Amino acid sequence: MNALNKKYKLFIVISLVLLVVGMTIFGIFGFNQAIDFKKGYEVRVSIDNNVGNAKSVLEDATESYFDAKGIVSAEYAFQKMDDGKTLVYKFREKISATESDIETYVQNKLDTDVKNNGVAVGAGVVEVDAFYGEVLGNDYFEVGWLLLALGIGVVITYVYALIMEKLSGATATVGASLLASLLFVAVMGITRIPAYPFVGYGIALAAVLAAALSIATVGRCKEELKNSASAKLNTWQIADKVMKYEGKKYLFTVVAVLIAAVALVAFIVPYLIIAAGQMAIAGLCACFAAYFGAPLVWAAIKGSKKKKA
Amino acid sequence: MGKGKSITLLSILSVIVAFVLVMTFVRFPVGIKNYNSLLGAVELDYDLAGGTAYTLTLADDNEEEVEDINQVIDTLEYRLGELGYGAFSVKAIKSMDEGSVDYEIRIETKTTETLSSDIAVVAAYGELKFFGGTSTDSFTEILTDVKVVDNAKYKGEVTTGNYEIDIEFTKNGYDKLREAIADNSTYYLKITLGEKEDGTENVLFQDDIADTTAYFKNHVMALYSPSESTARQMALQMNSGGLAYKYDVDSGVEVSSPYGEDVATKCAVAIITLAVVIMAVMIIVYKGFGLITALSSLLFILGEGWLLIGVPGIVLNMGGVIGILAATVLNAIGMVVLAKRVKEEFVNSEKTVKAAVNKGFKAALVPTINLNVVSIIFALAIFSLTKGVVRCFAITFGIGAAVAAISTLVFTRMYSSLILPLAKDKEKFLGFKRESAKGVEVEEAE
Repeated sequence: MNALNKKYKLFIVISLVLLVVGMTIFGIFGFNQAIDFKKGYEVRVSIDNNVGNAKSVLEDATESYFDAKGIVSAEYAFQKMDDGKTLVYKFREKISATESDIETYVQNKLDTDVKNNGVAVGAGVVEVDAFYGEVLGNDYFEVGWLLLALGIGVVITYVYALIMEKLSGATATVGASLLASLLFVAVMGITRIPAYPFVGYGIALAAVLAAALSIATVGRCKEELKNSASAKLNTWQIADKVMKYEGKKYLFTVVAVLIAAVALVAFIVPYLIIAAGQMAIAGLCACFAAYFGAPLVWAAIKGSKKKKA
Repeated sequence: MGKGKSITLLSILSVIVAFVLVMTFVRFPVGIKNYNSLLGAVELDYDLAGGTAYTLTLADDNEEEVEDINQVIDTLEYRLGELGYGAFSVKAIKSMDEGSVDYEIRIETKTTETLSSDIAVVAAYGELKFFGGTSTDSFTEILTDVKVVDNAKYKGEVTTGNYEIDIEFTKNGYDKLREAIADNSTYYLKITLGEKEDGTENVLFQDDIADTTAYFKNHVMALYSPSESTARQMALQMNSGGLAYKYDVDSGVEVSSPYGEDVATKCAVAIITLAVVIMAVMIIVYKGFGLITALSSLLFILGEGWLLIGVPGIVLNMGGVIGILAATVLNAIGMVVLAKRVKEEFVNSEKTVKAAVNKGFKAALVPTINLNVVSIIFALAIFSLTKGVVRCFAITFGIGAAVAAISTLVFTRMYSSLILPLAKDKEKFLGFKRESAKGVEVEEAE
């Protein structure tokens, strides 16, 4: 029987293509950044008092200024300060605006739109101050420590899996976990989904989920090997059989991860969409690596051991 | 178990679960106060609930020109992290106007009782400097060409009102100091760390140290401060290196979450939506046994939620939310493993429902334990080595994995023991069909 059947070959080819392309893009461009991380721009508009509930007009006036400039809300993140008397709009790219331009536009709106008991309060009662500047930040993502933690996690998992599922199972579990993490980074490179601030969870989630799914899958392989001793199936046939049994579990996992992602996306908050996208990628990478990779590694190692025996 | 006993126990359990559900999700008035529900009791970090923003601007009397603003950001972030702040934002902002040179720095983090003094520490200016000479007034700066301090640790209150900081000298630094002292019968050492709030020199130590044995123990020098916060701050400032520039800090203003408004509520809705949809899918796919796993998943959500307020020191941030979502998925995987095993045991054999369920639980024991133990291993590794938001992910995911194991192996077992005796036709209730029965149906159809 051909040990590496079509689906394993396809798995290897897809993995290699994703890793080579993704890692090359990642190597050249690094992770894509989100609004508000590393480098960006912000517009800050504030008022000195809230006569006639001026702060509600302030928000409308500033956003109508952006509208007039052709800047849509998806292009910025928004934050309130000082009980809404200061608004901060964050952009990834430079916008065609000047502080005085914003100030004049918003001041005019406030002078005419701010009303006390329906009566316009008039010019100069609420003073507007605008600021437009570039922002430098840091992701504060301790990549070194996280990778060390995942490394330690992988080593302890290997020892645990070695005790529970023997050498073939442990290697398959850890192999799938490492592959899932690398695939996650590669796919992030290809898709250019903004990385920070959630990339740490993405890598961790891919590694953990792949290890957890794999150890359950190789456990099933071991069990089937024991149950089918009389049928004299080779390890590849057993791996195929287990993949059929486990298909539903993986399908369910993919669905559950996608539901989690959709649940976050449903609220249309830019940052949560980034988190959702990464969660979906991490889950898919974990399922892909564990479903195809774990039985493949298990069958290869177990098969060669059996042959030697 | 008899039907009567099942109904009684199930009723009691349902009342308890309903009560806990109400306490978890419903807000209601109690007298003149309001009960704020579990969701209201969970402590939220800055990224979910907003906090306070402080703006740092270069002081008029700052002497050095800012060469590397990123280094300033790194130092400020390090100090915030060391003070225990999980989610925070440190940004340097410069006007786009031509001629604008200086960056102002905005720090946003969770509002705490000590935030104002913590920010003063975070922005504290000045490096650790050593001065030495043979008389008290002839100090010259020494040890300028070597790294002197390896590490500074806050040790706690050693005598009443005396808080110790241990400064571990590098071998080079210690040897250089010994060399300087060796030639003199008296040697005055002064150690300073930046300036006090009133602008005067912040002297940490000033004494004759001709006999170093009285002050040093294995390259470690103990310094004392009358205040705990000052001692902690000094240790932090020594470890993070000096902030080379002098900044003025404003009084701070309230700031909303950087992720938008009502983000905590939206996250809660996302978690509940995920759990409900998963429960619905389980019921659709696995019928009666799906209902059993769905009820157990409900206990999982409640357990995870109550542990968030039960375990001291958890401040929930976006990392924690992602951890809860991931743990919910993990719980669902465990449930699928179990349901599939029970179904396989029934479908592929002639066992009774009770025997198939028992065998299914037995077969799912090791895979479920493996699944959750591996998750807990990773969570512990991440928890012990990282800080801030990623650590919160590890906490909620780790707790979730532990609760998921209990939920799959204990709660599901409990519910199946209580619910299955109530079903008239257990096979129909579970919705499982034996392979042999399927064959008969096909034959009949033909």
